[in-house]
Amino acid sequence: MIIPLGVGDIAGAKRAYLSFSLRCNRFRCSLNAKAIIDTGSPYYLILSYKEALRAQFPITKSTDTEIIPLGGGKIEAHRVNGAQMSFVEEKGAVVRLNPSTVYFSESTSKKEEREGEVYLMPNLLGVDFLELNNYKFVFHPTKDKAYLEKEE
Amino acid sequence: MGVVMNELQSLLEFEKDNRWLHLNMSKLRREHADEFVAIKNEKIIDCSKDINDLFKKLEKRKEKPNEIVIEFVSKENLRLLL
Repeated sequence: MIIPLGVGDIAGAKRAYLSFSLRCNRFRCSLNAKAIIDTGSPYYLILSYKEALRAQFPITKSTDTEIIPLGGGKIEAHRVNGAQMSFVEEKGAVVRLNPSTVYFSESTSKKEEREGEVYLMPNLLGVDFLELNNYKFVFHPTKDKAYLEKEE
Repeated sequence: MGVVMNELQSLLEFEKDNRWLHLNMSKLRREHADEFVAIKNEKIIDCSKDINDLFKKLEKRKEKPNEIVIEFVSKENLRLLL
């Protein structure tokens, strides 16, 4: 099975990304989003603060948080279990996954919010996503081509 | 079946709008520097310097912020090292 990825300028560089929808029944929130494939991240999926706002994720009510080192700094992230994720494979079928844990990032400072920096952070699909689903990640930046492949 | 088709269509439209965003980023940087833009059907349907203000504008249009592309267009092309 091949899952086509988009290739575009995200956070100032050419990156491969997957568009997907995510549903968290426990928090009654859902969203369409895109996440870059980040082989430097061990986490399944980290969603940015912007996505928490878009999805109306109840940050103030969530107490299950974790500090995650990211890009030389640290972010506070809200842990969500039981989310459902879906995206489209090459032949047009919808693929559904049940990630063990996904994270919504918290804004780290009002200053960052004012200056927009916090809104530049992309969503990250990490090595857990690739490994637990047995996906191979292929990225050919010269040809703007990228995909995930799963052996049947 | 209808739910699956709606989900599929929503995802495909979201991806199409993302492609449009990436193809038009240089133009967006000139015209919408440091603004949040909402994109639907390969065009900007609204914009604002403040994300909550943009959500209010979209609500008036009966659009759902969680389903469409919303992007912050930074004036400078900052390269994030993740």
